[in-house]
Amino acid sequence: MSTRSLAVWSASGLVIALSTSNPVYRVVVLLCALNLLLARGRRGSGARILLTGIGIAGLIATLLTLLLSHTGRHVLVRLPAGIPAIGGPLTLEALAFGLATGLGIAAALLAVAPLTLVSQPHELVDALPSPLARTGAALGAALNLIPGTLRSAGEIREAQRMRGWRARRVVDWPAVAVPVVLTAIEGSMTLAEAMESRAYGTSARTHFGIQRWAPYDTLVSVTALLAVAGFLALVATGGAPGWFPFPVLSAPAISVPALLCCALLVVPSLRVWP
Amino acid sequence: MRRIGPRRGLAICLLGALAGLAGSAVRMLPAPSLCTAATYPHHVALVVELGDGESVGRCVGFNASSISGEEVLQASGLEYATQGYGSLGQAVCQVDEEPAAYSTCLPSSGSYWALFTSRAGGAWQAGDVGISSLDFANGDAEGLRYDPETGPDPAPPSPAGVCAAAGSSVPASGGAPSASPGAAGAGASPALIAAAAVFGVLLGLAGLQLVLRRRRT
Repeated sequence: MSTRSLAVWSASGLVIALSTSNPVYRVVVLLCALNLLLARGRRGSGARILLTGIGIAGLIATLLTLLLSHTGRHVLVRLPAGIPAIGGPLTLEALAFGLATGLGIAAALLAVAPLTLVSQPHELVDALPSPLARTGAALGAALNLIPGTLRSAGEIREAQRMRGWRARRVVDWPAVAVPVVLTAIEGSMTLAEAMESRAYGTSARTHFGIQRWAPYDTLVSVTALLAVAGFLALVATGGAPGWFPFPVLSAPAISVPALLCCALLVVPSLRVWP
Repeated sequence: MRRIGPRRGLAICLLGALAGLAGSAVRMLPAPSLCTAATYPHHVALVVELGDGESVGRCVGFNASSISGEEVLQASGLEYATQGYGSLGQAVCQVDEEPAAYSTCLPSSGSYWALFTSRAGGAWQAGDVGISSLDFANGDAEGLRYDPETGPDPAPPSPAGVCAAAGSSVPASGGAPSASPGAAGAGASPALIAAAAVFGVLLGLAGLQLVLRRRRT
């Protein structure tokens, strides 16, 4: 599957998830993204960490909305009014709205997750248009610096422990921090030399044409674009109503055409294609 | 992490599909109606005119000598939401998902649900209290119109004929009686069935992907 068609799919899923407040459509986007990750996700790509992070983000969004929004008719529990910010009634409506917000965050994150969990980093850089290739390579290298530094910090910490180092106070940490900074600088110099030796910045980047645009990629891109265009048109014309649980909780309205637009995002998960 | 075997994965897949089907089946059960089988001695007609001009008529039956306006709306099976306005009672904020979302029940500008009453076949009168504070007797009618608040304020279509044959739901626009009995016409929602089916298929597919993923290793 081409990274460019995957990027089109991710952008479509992201736009749909962010353009509606209706949890029904968000759930469909979320399930489509989950299917795609299960069908095409790389092993050992850190999907578990990402899913845990998404779960925590959703939980925080739910809790914050529940505690800070005191609107709604169905009161679950009343906190003493003297407690700053969170004091007052905690309502079922706020809980539902918090869950819907968490669902939106999860759907948006899962929609873009395939870009890193399905594609390789170099495939992402290759997928960029040629005018953006140099910027993409620089950005990719910069982003790679964070996990690289974390990895380096872990290794140095282990090495220092083997030498009998123990972190008891803040002043003990320079024993790890200084080597980490020096290693990062050395790594940057090595990377710069490696990029220069590969003629970075002299002309357009060349690469092996491993990924080819197949008819399947056309199908994925067209269905994703149809999904987002149809959905946005329905939102603009009132055909895909949002959802607002205040002041009284009510079931979200469902539009079948909007539902089908969202369901179109399942196409890349169908494994009838390689 | 504990691995999920093919059988367990298949079970997850089937459970997802079953959950979707169960959701559809539950929704397909007819909504409880006071009007079913025309066994009630008293009837009140409910006429709801939506924002697009479409009218919905329901005939609600009851045993007691009177019934409140909110009970009529509740028994009709139509989706609705209300908000309390002190001694005036409950104001209608939403009927049949219209408006789809709102922040104020009775906005200073924009559309709102106007309430009308008709006593013993008489003309429509604008309601002066909330829907929960109105009582209806046999032969009365309750009307709701999604009013744009600007321009004329016409009454909903006539309730005549809505309860002509108790136990049948008749469109208030005067069309042919519906085949669905009484207020149970609001039972199955194709949109909800479609949503349940989509969820079921996607969950089932995810279970299948999990099985295939495990098998590949």
